[in-house]
Amino acid sequence: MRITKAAVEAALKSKLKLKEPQFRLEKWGSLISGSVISTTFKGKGDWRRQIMISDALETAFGDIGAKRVGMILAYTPFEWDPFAPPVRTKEKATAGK
Amino acid sequence: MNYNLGQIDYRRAGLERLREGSILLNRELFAGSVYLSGRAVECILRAVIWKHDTEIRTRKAALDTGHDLRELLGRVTQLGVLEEVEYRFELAIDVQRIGRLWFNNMRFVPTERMKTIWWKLGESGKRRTLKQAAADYHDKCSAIVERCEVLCE
Repeated sequence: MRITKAAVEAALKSKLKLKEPQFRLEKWGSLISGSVISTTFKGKGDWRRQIMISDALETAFGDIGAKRVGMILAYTPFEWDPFAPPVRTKEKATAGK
Repeated sequence: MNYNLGQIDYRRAGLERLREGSILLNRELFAGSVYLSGRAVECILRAVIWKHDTEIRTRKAALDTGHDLRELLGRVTQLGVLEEVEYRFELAIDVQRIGRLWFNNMRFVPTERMKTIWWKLGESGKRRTLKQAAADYHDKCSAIVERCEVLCE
């Protein structure tokens, strides 16, 4: 089975029902590694996040997923960049208008 | 300027930064301690890459990850030195945490500002002092350095 970056992104997005995900995945050699950023991870500890990712990949790709996917770290947007300006959501942008 | 730094330099520097981080922690100089302990992790990840990546070691390729621990870990993963999935899993948990709490510009951040950022990240607060959080962070950095030390031998 060929596991691509797009397939990993799609698997994580659908299995974890990620809200507004951003992916920073890279493929070096045969392994895919990187980070996924989503508010879905807010309030969840490091262990729980890794379990979520590991389970999602196993469900999508079986045992081979663990071999082909290196490490994927999970962050919320604020954790990824605490200095980034806050993103205005549609609801906030239209509030009060 | 090219300083010709290599695996041994990065490894030694990592151990030195970790020790310095510990000294500052004991003196309750938290921002400095956190900054240096995170830098120790960067150093040891770089040492692992230098040891196992021939292209980097022979300077045929440049390490273009910058100072981002998350990217450095990704590069280490690609080297195939973390064979055991369980081992990768535990290292990922520790680096995920340190990658969240450390950033290169931390060298410009005073303790009060760091305290605010960590509070917003839920790392410290009413039930967990900055001292406790900084000590736990240092322990996690030590664990990563210890694991990666094995990969440098």
